Amino acid sequence: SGEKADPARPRPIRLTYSVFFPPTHVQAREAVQWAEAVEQRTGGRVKIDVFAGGTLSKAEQCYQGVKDGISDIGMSCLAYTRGRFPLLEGLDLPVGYPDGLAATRIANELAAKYQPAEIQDTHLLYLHAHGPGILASKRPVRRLEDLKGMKVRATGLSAKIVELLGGAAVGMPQPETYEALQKGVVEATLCPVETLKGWKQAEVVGAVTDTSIIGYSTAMFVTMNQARWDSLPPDVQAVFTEVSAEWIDRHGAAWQVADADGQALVAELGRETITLPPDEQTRWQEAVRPVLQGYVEQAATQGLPGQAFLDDLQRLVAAARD
Amino acid sequence: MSPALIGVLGLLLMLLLLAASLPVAFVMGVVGVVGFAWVINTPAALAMLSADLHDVLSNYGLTVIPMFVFMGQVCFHAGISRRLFRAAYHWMGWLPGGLAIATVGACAAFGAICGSGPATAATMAAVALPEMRRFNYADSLASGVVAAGGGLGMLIPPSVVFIVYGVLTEQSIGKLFIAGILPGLLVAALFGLVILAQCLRDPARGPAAPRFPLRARLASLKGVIETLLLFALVMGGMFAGWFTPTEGAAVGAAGSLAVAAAGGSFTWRLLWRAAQETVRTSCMVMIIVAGATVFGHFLAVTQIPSGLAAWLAALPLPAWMILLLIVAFYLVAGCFVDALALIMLTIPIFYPVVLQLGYEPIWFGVMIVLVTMMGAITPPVGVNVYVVSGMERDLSLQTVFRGAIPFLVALLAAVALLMLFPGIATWLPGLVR
Amino acid sequence: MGATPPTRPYDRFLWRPVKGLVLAFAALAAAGVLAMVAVTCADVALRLLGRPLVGAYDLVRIAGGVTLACALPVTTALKGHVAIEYFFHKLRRRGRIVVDTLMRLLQMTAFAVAARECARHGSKLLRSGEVTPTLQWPVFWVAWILAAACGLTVLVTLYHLVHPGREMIRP
Ligand code: NA
Ligand code: NA
Repeated sequence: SGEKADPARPRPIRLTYSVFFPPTHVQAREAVQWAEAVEQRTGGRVKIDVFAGGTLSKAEQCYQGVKDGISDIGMSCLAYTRGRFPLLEGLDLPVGYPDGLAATRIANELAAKYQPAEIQDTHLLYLHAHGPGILASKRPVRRLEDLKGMKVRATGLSAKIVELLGGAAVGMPQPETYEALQKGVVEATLCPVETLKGWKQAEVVGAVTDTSIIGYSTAMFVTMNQARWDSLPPDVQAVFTEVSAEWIDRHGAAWQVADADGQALVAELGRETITLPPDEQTRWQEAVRPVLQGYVEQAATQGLPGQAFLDDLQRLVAAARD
Repeated sequence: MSPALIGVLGLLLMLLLLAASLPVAFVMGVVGVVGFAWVINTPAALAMLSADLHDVLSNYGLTVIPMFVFMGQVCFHAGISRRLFRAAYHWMGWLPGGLAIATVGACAAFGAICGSGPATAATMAAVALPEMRRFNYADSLASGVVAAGGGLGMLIPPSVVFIVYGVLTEQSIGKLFIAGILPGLLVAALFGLVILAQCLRDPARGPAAPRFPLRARLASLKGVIETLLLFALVMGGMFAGWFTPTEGAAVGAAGSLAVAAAGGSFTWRLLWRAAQETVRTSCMVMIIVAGATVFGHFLAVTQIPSGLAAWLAALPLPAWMILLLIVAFYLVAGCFVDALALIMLTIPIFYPVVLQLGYEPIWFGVMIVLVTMMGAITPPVGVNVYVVSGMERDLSLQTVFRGAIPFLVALLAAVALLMLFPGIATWLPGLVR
Repeated sequence: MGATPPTRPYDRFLWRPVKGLVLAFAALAAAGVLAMVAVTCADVALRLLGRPLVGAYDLVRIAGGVTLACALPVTTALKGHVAIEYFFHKLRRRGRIVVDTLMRLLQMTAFAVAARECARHGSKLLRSGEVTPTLQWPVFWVAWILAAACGLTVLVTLYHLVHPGREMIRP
């Protein structure tokens, strides 16, 4: 807005960026700072207008929207358009991510290694992924048996996880979950601990079980319209690549801080945090194994290297847990 | 041409097409696509049109609107609502505008089930509007009270607007819900006063009935039983944790069919007619929402809402004046843009300012809902008014808008009262720890 | 319903099938509403028994999408969309004819464009392999139904254009 009409300087390249996170969410703020860094390091040759809260394209339409040019850049979850990313779907599996930073680094490492065909129709800038999904419940869950028949809010892949753990998966949108927990329509929710603060659900749960041993994640993409990318001068492209590489760790760290904040709120509200004993942890791991199997088989039917992807994923997660 | 200028031209084109009697939903869609094509490019605009249509029509939060409408239609066709209003007529009919006041009460009660303004308005338009007209209430009063009363669905918890606000501003949704209760009752009372004042000045608007003898009154109570059963089922089930408010719509619809069957008034023809009317009303509402979504995306890329908000927030004025300007901003912008999109675009700008001015976050949330309620009944884009006029086809839009204006005054009075006595919003949530 | 007698020779060959299609879409829409109610109630009941209907959320979304898409032609045929007619009624006869014709042509263009775009959107969804989150059912066909509904709405608007002042279907 403070642009001067300097005839010697060409008008900046204006780009739109659609972010599904609400504008006050820490990840939306990271997106804004990423955009500002790009603007600065290109010397003002690029101007990025960020539209947070899905005000330009909804989370489910974000990827196709980038392809079609509704927004030039987009950030959303791979899982919101199930089936579209059959190989990278593996990033959301319950492999036991230790934290958001590790999940984010692993996601980028695997995307770089496999270069899946499913994301080649746009220019992927980077991925990030939240910390391990935990179980927040009204009644404490200490053993697998406590979960038997419990109504747990979960959709998509996590619905499968809930079923394998013996719970009953109930699908509902995140905005309705608060009330549903309060009234007992559902008795638990599977989500990163950060969500308990962001959506205030910590107010209405009784206990949190640290299930990070089977921690799943939700990978999110930041990607750019291919034609738009191709039209950028090489030095501007280089700035995008450089800033994106830096922001991988910033998003990851932000997820870690958000999870810590969520955990702090849980403690502040006096909710119990339950750690599973080692033998119980093994049982939970065994219980969710069929999801991993299912992923590999599904990928195989599409001629994708699901097994190799999963092996790499588990190796990286094991390394990160140490 | 700058995007902002294209935005202004778009608004002008919109007014022109509206005046040329093109249906409102199509006006917003056409202007939105043309404007988006102008600011961004044509392929993107066309892709946006189909993506928005598909998304709005199969969005879970919105697909429940047909279920609420269906519940209202079954109650109407099975005569359940007619018997309820007969009872209301026996007990409150002597009061000038008594049935309209009873309708406000019904809106408030239904608002405790339903979190959406248009859905509340649609249900009440099916249930209460035909009854008020049957008892010779003025069309403008009868339709205005339903359009305005529908807004109580957003103020009285549960409420979609509070949830969005709570997530945006990191406030407790539970506290916001509680904060909505007293202002909700206040607004309902103010609406009642508005009705009474109108009907005392011009008794023909809400003709008073003679007082009925006690025996007749007691006999009329039989007609309330069905409604009470339904209400107990839906509210009881919600509080017992059997289902969410959204699912309550389906349970209520099935329940009203069961009540109709038990009362012997169920026929397949009834089911068919109720379903047909539901389909037509829901489609009319959802196409408007889709049009507003397309139009909102266009306005977003013109940067007009966020630019205007940023400019307002930086004005060197006393706190209460900035706050009034913010209210005025929502009042004007709410004439053109869907409320939730507007909140998403502008709260991040206004919220820090409001905090800096020393106002309470929870209190501001209530103010936001109040201005959203106003936006739903101000011309030219007033969703609740569209819903009501679309359901009673012989009621023109201007009749409903005209009928809703006195209630706008009541909402402004509520805003003033909340500014003078913030405790109305903050006292109850303060009691809860 | 449809009580208007045929007044022109092509009524029988063109408009009758169109009307039939509009009514068929309307019936499908009504069935969709009942399906939404039934699925939700079944989910609630089964949940109380400890066995929630997995994917009820997906089913309600699909039923809702089909319902609202299929309702579009009949809603238009009934002239059920809200318009501001205040200024229109102030016009003289010739002015009304001109404005009405222009608006109907604009509406037809808009729905023709929407039909084409929705069909393309459906094809994109088909190619992308996108499915519903829990049941993993394909989603593209809902967009195609929407495209068909928009196409039918073009014909309904054409009917209104050549039969001024008359609804295609009476409520
Ligand atoms: Na409500
Ligand atoms: Na308005």
